[in-house]
Amino acid sequence: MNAHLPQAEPEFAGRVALVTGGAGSVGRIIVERLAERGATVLLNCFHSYDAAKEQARELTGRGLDVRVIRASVARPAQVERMFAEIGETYGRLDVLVNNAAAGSFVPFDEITEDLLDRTYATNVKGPLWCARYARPLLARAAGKGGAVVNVSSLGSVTTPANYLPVGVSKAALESLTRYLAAELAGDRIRVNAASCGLIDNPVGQMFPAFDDVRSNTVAATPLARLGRPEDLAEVVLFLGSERSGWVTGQTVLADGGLTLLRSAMSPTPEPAPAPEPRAAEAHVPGAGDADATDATDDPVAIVGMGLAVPGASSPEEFWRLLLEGGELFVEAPADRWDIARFHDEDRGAPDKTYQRRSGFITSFRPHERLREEGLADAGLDHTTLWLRHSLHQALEGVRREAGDRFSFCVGYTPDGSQHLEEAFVLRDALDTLAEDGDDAVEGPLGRALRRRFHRGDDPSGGYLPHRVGQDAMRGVLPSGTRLHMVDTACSSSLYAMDLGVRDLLSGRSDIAVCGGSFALAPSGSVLFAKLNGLSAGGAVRALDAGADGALFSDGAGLVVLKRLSRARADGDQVLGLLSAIGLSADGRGKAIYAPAPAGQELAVERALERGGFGADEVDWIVAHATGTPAGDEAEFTGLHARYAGTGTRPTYVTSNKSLVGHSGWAAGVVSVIHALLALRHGTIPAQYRFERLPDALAGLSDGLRVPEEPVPWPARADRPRRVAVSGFGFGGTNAHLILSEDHRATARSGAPLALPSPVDEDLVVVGWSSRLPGDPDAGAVAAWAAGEGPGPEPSFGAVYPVPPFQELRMPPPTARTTDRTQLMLVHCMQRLDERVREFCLRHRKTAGVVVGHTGATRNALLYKTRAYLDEIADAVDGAEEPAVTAKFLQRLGERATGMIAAPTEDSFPGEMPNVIAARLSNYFDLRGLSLTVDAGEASFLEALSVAGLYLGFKEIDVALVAGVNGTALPGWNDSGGRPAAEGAFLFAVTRRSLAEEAGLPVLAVMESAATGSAATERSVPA
Amino acid sequence: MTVVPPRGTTLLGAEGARELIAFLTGPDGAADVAVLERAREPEGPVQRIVFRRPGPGPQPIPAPGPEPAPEPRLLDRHVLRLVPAPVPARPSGPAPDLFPPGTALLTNTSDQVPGAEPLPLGDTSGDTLEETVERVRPRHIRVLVDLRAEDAVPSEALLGLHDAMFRTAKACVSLPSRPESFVVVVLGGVSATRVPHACAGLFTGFAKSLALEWADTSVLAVVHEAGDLATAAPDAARETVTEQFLPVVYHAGGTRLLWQASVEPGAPGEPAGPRTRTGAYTVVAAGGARGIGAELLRALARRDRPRLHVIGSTRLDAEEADARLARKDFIRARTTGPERMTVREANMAYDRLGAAREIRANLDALRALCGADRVTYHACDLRDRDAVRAVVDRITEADGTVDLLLNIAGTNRAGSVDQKRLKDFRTVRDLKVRSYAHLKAAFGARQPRRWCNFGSFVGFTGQTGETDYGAANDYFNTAALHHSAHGAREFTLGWTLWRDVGLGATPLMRTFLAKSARFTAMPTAEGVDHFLHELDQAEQPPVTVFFGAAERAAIEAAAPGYLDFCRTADGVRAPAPAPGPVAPRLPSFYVDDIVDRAPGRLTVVRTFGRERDGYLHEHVVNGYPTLPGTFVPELAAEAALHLVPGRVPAVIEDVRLESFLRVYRPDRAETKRVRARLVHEGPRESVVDVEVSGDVLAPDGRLLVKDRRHFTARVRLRDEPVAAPRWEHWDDQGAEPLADPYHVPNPAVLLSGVFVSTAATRTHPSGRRARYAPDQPGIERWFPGLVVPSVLLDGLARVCVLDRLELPGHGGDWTPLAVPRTIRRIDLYGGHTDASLAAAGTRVELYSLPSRLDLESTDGNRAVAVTAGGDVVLQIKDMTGVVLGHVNQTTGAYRERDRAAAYARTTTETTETPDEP
Repeated sequence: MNAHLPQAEPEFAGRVALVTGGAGSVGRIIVERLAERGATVLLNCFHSYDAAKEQARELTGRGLDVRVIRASVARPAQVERMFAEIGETYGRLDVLVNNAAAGSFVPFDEITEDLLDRTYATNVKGPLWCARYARPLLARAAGKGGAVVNVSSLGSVTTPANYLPVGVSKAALESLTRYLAAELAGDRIRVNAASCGLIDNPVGQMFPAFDDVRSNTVAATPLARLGRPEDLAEVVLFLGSERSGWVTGQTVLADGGLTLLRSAMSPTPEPAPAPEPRAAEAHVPGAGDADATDATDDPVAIVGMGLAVPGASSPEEFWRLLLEGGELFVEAPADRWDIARFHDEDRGAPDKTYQRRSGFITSFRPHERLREEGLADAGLDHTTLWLRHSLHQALEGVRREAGDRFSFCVGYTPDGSQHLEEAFVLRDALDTLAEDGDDAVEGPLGRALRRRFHRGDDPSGGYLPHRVGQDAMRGVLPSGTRLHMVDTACSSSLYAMDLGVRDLLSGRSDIAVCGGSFALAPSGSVLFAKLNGLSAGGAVRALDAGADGALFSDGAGLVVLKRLSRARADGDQVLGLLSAIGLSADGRGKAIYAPAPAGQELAVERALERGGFGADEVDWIVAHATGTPAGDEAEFTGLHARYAGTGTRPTYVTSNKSLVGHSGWAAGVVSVIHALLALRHGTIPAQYRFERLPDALAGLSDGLRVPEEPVPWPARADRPRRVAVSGFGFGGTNAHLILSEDHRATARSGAPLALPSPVDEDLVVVGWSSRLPGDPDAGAVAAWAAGEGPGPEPSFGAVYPVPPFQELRMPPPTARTTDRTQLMLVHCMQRLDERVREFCLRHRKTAGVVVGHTGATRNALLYKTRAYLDEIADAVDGAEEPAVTAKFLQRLGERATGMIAAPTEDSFPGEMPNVIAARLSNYFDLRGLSLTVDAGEASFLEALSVAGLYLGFKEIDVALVAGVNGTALPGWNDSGGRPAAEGAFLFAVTRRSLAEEAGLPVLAVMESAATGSAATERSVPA
Repeated sequence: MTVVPPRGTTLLGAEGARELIAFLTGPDGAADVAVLERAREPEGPVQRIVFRRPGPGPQPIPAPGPEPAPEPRLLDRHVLRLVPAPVPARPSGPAPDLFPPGTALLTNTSDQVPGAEPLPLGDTSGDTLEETVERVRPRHIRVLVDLRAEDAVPSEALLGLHDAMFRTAKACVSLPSRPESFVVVVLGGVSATRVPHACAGLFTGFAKSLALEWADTSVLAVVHEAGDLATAAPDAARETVTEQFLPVVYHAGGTRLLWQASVEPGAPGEPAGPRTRTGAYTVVAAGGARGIGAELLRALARRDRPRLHVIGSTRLDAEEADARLARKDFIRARTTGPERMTVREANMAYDRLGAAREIRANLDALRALCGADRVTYHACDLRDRDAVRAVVDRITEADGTVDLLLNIAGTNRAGSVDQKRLKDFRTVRDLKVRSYAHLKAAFGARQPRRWCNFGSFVGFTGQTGETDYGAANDYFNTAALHHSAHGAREFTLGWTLWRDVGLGATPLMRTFLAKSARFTAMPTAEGVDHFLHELDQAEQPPVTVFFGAAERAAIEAAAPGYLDFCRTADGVRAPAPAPGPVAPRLPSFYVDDIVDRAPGRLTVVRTFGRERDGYLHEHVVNGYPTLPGTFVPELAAEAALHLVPGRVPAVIEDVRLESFLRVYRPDRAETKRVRARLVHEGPRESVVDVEVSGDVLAPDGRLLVKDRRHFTARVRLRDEPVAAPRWEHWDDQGAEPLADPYHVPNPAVLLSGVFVSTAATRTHPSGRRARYAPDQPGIERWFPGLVVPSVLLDGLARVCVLDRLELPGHGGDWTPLAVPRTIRRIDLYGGHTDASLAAAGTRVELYSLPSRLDLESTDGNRAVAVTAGGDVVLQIKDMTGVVLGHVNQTTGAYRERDRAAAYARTTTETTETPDEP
């Protein structure tokens, strides 16, 4: 609690409220909320006495003031006794909620006089008796007078089937409300009625054929779900509070817009609703186990979203930003770093960037749950903080149940964390300092360093990528959640969504939360600057003739995925459907960082094909377009080839990078949220900072249009609105995803989710190879593995032995600038059994690479210290005698520049973890997907697991699965006090039938992978 | 600062690859499974991947082209029943002597057989059993077993006899020649209704396997209804010279019965794929953490996502650190140092580690399917009674009544009688039999709703080398039949060997199987299908056995003609009181005929007669046999179930008892109509209104009133019985004994026989209480098939009257005698019936409250029946009644109620006062 904030008095503090029927589904919420907001609540009930007492015990146990009074409101004598008792005890009553109700749902022919009488006695006479006996007590109410709230139902003015007795009584109750309002006004007593449509609670569920009624009602309700007890309770509380002090005699209806009759009075004839799976069925796993038609019938829905980007801390703010625009590229804020020490106008200056601006999250407004948890400013890694923020946001209103299994899939890179960067820089600097002894580390220089790089001074290693995922979800998602930290560079968050979809379809999870997170850090900008990829002007102009480069941004976003059946059963808001995902890898290209239109087009083609869509069925494309002229041109050309000239209307193309910049590993999900917001609001926002297409693209303006004004995008009758989202990763990993509106009027409402079903076939290991320091052969490695031979040296040493060009066909400068992890894997591939390698190459179009790797690469780390030399000098300036400081800085500088040469255009791709996988694809022209996963020491196992998932879905036929480590820098990433060792291991995994067809030996069968919790197991009593 | 030496290095992202290479390059004969495990961070979730060897021999290359058709089923589902035997060719001549000269007799009876040498049981001063056999050199062995005093789980004495039977056979092996005959006669081994005694299978299963081992000896087991040898002996003697199929024959009700295995595919199951389970669904697997059980659990988990408890003997918490060592390194480490083991011990320890890892992997797979918190592993030796009880208590405390128990544990050490050690015999038998007994006992009053034993084909036919395993599995057969006949839902599945998992998958067995061609090796997928299919049966037959062509050939070779007998049409089967048809069986005690059926309603006719409803003589109101009002829920529930098959009654509401249902004259049956109408059919609940009526006839048969209403009630049915709420037993402080007035002779209401169902009736400061004391024989005689525990309900309702009143002008100590008039609500929990409670010997306490209770007022009241374990079995809410008179507690005098007063207090128009006598 913030002591200096004025403590607001709870709204009902000091008030006495009586709730009749307070143990019912709605009643108990009214009771609880009144009590939570300060009221003394008298819980009246008759039949549910035991339940009421239990409820009261629970609430009083929480320090709330709740008492049970038993009486039947249908019996005047009991009512009289009840109010006499209240009068004796409290002397007054402030709020009377007539909530008790009776009646059953019966067909017209079965209505009996007895039923009518009983219903009337409780529902009409009851409130009348209560009001009469309560009147003298209400007249003595505190504040602005007493309030009576009668709980009614929509059945009073509409005609639900089987509802006549109750409906008629509720109509009488609403009339009674008006009479009472007039009668009691003299005593300053207000009387109102709160009413609600069909509620998804045990009473509502007693409706005959409830499931049918539910789906029909949801379909006709503009807000597209059933009412909840809370919805009605809040209206009751409002009418009982002083906020409604000038309202009396009214019936206030909460029905999600059902009575607006939009559905009945709309032009599109409503077809018979698709068969609605029952609520519980949708909770059952394995729904995608075998049935190929399953995905068609039951696509994946997006039911929640959350994000943080420059200028917006929520989807709503993001939408405003998209409409209104904003100048968000700024110099690094003071609390991040001083750009002066990382910047130089001279593009040739080593370890400097030529651009001062980037897209920073500067006025982050943490989600209230983050505040409540005390995590809003607890110094979490930025990426963790923004992810958790997005997670809280995305889960709002998403129904979850105990026992639900979750996947948490996050696009991520160790290079996107200022915390990690500072951790290494600090460690490296202190290490250098330690050469002068522990005193030096603890001395003024050490203190100054730790002060400056406090973000990295986290002994628990919260900045490590696998910790980011864990920490972001800890306590929000259950501990058994399947966590995937996936890296395909800038398409990562779309690949994360793809993984989540597969977990859902294969029945491994019930709910998948997917997205990405990325925080700016200086060294990334330096390396990207060496590619001349940054905008010189300091503003992104994606798709525009004036484009001069990209700018990176902070950003995180998450979306929540469920099967549509489950989403509907849960009453979740369906933001959109995931209709198709197309993935591809570029394979061999010019350079690993050069965009390849063919690869991108392949992803687009796969998405359209799998979705079964014609190009004219997509209205709009949220392009990857980052603002680099070459990249934008390649992408636009590719889109034109696939999308243009097919329809009468143009397909719109926009990119949000001009506005919020390129949030890298989160960019894909940010674009997805952009698209979902536009679906919701019926408008395609104009392209920001756009004047005209570049000349090279001007000829392609037929069919594709970049909107300069917002484009109205209303729902259409013939088909769902659709939008595609592209994400292309450095290293040639492409994704193209198609979202559809949840459109009930067309048979192909969701459109199939374009994924084949997982096959049920053994996955087998057919070959392996390794690369270790000292280059032991397979026999020696096998002996070492069996514990019989000597182990290799821990490291290849300061300089990796780059093979001659005959062996490694790579320009020598590039090879020297490439991290050893990439080179080791190329070596492994070359060393794979001839037949196995041939097999992989024969299947190259469907051969994928999945690499397990944890943390930053060696090269990435070494570039960081180089980039920070001036920053370190600034940090220690004046902390110690100049001579001592100078000596330290000199030693540090010599060490940093001695370990690695100044960065070049090859450096960025050379150090990226995702390029470890992509390098193999690129070098051997493998066209299946490639990605790197990070799960700490479980990374290799995670890689096997993810590869198994893709093989099972036949997304790929052959997986080259690797575990690799090239970072054996002392003191860095030591796990449990064990120094790190370098090495790479490659395994070829395929389906058994393919192996046998090729006559390959089956070395082992890989069985299902599982994630368990060691902790739960230990707690099991023996 | 202490310096901790680094424990090796870490390959970080490449961790685990080294073990995989070790597995891929490991020598033949190394472990079949490698479990790679790494935690993302210390104490964090463990990522785990299991690799296994690819399996023997080259795999055929699948033909390219369309998806292969599903594998045809190799095994057929057979239901085992005892059916009348075809008339055997009666051997000519008189029946032979059951105890010919040269007979040695082993028995637990006191029967003396002149001329037969008794074999000593247990410790005796004289020769041991083996020495006696050695000395006597018997030519005939007779084992005479009396099961009359035995419970469903065998006593120690009976197991001792079983041991002795094995020892006798084993001792015979060293004789110069084996005995000519070995005949087991089981007395009291089957009921007149053809239900075997649970323990019969222990002896028949042994005989079946011994018969195969001793081809030249005439081995036979005769199970007889009779409890005395004099009655059974002639039948048994004749059987010794009768040609047999299997060496087991039953005699019950004067009929000769044989096992028949008839092919019955069963009702089509629910559609494949996951399904809905409303509410909790708790499954306990005793055994099954590995092998067949694990496969089936995985399938079950995939489909039903139950709350799962797995009980296994392997502890998972030990020796984590060693888990990643290669076998060689492990053995090297363990066989050196001060606490070194032998190599054999170290090998076993390593195997245990492997088992633990395999189990962990299996559990993780289950957790991935069911949810991390929904799978619990309990390390527990099932042979340890106390440990089992502790585990079961934990389970039922946490999750209430278990929905399905899978009794999976078992082991097998094949060996002929001459090779087999007594220790091994016991180990194999006891792991099944004692585990079963311990589980039964541990569940006590909270028996699982369904109980599935994993049996074996060997239990059905016997098998060379399996005298122990066969006995244990045949015990599962007879035990399941026994418990099913007593109201439990228990069934035994007889598996053959599985090809890829469990006993059949060891290299030795694979080779053996391939050679012998006597067994069908079943693919895992097929076994899974059979299992799920069996669970889907609305009503499981108590014994099912799966076998295919290879087994059929083996049976035909061993018992020519038996399969033909199994194929005989139903006609051969006498209309038996034996286990009913396999089709979903609906309760029918109060359903004679359905005379009218339309969507949503039906009318049942039931004729009450003094013969068939003889129990009414034990419930006499005003001098006439009268249907207790507490049986109306049963009538209503039965009719409702015919309308809504597949659901179970959960709540009976608004019971109105308007006029008595009586059988006035011995010579005139009373025909009543029960009309049921479906008023609501929802995914969770079906609601059925029931009315019972009948014509009122004058003594001369003239119709006085057409279709007069007796009772009405509303039945709410659910998919599963409602889980029992808990009840805290009262401290008995302040209780005072009070006689039950209904058992005191009086002209108003007199109950006897099966309706004397309460004991220790007493008042209590908080209300009234009593103990349920069911008359088990009476219940089995009259009410084996009721769905509502009606006798219990009746007893509970009566507890409500217990009171001590002052009658103005007549002093104190009077207890009212009342009949119920209306009951607002009855809740049934846990699916108990009178029969199941009586069979399980469940102790039930009865409570009524509040302390001051006027049944003639509309004040709320409540009565509950609660197991000793604290689970509520049923509850009556808000009952009203009419006081007919009062019984004096001291004198036993009866005072009829002032009729005017009674009328004055009962003014509801729908309620009539009791009929005039």
